[in-house]
Amino acid sequence: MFEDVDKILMRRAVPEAPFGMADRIIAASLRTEARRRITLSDLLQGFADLFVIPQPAYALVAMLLLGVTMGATGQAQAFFADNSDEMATSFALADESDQDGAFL
Amino acid sequence: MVQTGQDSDDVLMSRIKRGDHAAFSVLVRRHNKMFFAAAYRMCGEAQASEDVVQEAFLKLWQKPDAWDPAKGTKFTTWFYRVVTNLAIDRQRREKKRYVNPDVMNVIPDKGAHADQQMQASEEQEILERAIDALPERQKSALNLCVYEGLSNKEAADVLGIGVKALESLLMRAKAGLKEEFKREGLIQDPDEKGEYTYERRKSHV
Repeated sequence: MFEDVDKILMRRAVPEAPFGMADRIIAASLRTEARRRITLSDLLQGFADLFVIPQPAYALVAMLLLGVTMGATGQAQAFFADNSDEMATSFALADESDQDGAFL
Repeated sequence: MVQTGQDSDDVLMSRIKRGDHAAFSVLVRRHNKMFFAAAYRMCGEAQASEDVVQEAFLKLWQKPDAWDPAKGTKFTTWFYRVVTNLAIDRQRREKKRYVNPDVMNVIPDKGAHADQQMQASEEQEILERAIDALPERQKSALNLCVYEGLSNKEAADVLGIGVKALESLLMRAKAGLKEEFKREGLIQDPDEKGEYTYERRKSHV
């Protein structure tokens, strides 16, 4: 129905894009970026991003392992602490028994 | 992050959303010519078309979230909409009815005779004037479907209308152009007999 029109439409020409157009757009975007950096929303977004956990599942597992490790270490320290108290007590007792002046 | 020119538009856009300027540069270099042509077909002037394309890319850089891949629209389809709308806005602002000043520069000179060149440039001018005289939406539909190679569905998405409405716009655009081409002597009237020649068309004008 419109074959003749289509033929003519296909002969429509368009000039080449102006030389260096892409470079000009990229350069303009760099200037825009400099302005963009100082907006309040970007600052707030940057601040909020500090608290984002990228891999929550891994973070949870890591925290669990850390907790178990610290817990186990704490128990071990408590055990040694308890034993050292006993030793200190026994030394104290020993010291007291030496008050007779055997070594003085 | 490693930049390659092989990344899809979707990948580049996700990088741009993270502020990756190198990805933006790749996208600009990849598409600037295609969108310049699209803008040119709307504006009809090289400088205005460059301005439109630059404005569109800067908007993209400032607000990359405006394109949402979850909506299922291809990047290029969405960007055609941006460029088309900016070009239409610009034309409305300037309210300029152009007789294309660049028309003489787009006719390829491949050893053609002066007479043939003149004929070609005259045809271009008629063509541009006829298309420019179309209503805005008909012109956009024609540009997107005939020149940008978009499918009817994609073009309908760009214009924010249904496929049937787009087909109707295309039909009316072509019918209008056919009448204009007949009037200008580019198409031979079926009532008239004889072979079409340039001289014959000149006698029409």
